Amino acid sequence: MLDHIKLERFTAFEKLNLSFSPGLNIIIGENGCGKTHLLKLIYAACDVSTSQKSFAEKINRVFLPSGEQIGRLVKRRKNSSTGSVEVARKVQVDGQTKTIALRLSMSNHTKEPAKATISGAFKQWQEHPLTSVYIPVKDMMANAPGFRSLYSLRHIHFEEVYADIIDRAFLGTLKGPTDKDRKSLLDILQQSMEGKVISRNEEFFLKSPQGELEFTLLAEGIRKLGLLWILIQNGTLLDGSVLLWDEPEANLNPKLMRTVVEILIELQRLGVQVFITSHNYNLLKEFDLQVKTQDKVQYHSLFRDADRNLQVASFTRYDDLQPNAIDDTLGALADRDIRQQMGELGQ
Amino acid sequence: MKIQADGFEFDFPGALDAYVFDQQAKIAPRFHGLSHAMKAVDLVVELPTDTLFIEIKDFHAPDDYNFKAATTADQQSKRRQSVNHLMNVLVHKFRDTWLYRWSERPEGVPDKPVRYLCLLTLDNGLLGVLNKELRQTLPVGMAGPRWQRELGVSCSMLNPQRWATAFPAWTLRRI
Repeated sequence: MLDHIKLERFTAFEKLNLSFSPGLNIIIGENGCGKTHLLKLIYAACDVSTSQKSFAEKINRVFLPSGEQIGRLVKRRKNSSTGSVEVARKVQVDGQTKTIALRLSMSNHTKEPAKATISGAFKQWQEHPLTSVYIPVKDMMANAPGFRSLYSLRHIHFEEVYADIIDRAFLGTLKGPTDKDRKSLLDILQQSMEGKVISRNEEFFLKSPQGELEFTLLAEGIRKLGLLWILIQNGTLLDGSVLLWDEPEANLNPKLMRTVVEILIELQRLGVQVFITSHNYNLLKEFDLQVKTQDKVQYHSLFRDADRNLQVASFTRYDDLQPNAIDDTLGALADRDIRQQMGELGQ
Repeated sequence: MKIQADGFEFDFPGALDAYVFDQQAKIAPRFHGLSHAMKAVDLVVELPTDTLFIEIKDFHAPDDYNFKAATTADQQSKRRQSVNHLMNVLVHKFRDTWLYRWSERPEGVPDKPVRYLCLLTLDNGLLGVLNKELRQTLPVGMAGPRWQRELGVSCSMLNPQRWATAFPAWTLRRI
């Protein structure tokens, strides 16, 4: 289970410490507040626990700075500077809970990931592999045919999260019967999608009583439910895994949002640590209404302080969330509407 | 001019008059006397150029009205019913107050535009959804194809936070 992240002079962040909920983590904030950057860093830390890549290399691949110069991820300043990232997690060692961390530091002149400094308990990190999945805003399922081979053979300019999500989707089905909890989640999704997902020759189809529909013909919202279905069905999202989802609300109508939130909360109850970013009132309200007191939820609000530095404030209740960029925007809209209605009265 | 109602105190500097509309005591200076037949908004404020009707609803469970974010069909139906009831109450309070004031105004006194302000403890997202519905139902503006005048020229739903931002000159505080 991921415990916290610490950043110093990394991309948009001057200094940031953020502790995670072991369950659901909902990150909000205006555009340019680094929500996606946080997700990518957490994902990179998770992914290196199961791959041969170094932390620096993975970060470089998921951020893809210009010329793949990792030093460009250090927060820009006039003079030379260094930046660092620390991601920590709790693991069980000999029956004891232990916190281990992975650190990366580099200067803005560092060109290659191999020249960046990596420290921390990397060996223990890999001894406790952490299954993770990062769902980017843009759907990739419809573009899956041929993408994987193209990505591995040619140097194409795609952040690695796009190739990774397709890899996760193509993992084979788990052996043995589907357990009760996963089956109930699959049933909820099947009801919303009115079918289930099958793949053939690197192509995904929604199989319903009406026939088989290729993903390119499906609404993007349904593709998202389809992806969730695949990840649950193939066992990627199991107890102890980590799901990172950038703006789940993209292309979802409010009815599907209800299903997505229901699934995310249920995954959290089954032991999946979930991280999402959001700009959407309906989605957050769904969480607010569906979570129960026993659920482990934290809302993290990223905002800029008076000096324009990024800060974070965390809350367990949506109503307490402050600053709330989404509510502030709705409030500002309401203010403009009132002004239009009332003219100069009350000024 | 300060006036209190339903746990809030309002201040309307420069107002000609501000009073609780539905006064129940027979000896009250503005005894309503028709509470058995007509609904009434909480406050009426006479400004030099406009009249404000103000209705206050301080909810204990605002989410009971959030039908758009209901988790089940049953919950959605119950919440929709709550919203319909709320709309019904707000609309009838406005219309009955409007009729009452028309009837009590001496002939020859000109109309002033009426503006309806509903102070509700709902969140910003919900206010926007409900406000549109209330404006259509009242209705606000030149709504009817044959209308030559308006019942109300504007209608706004606000929570205390929006009131403070939108009306810096009309202070509001909880008492």
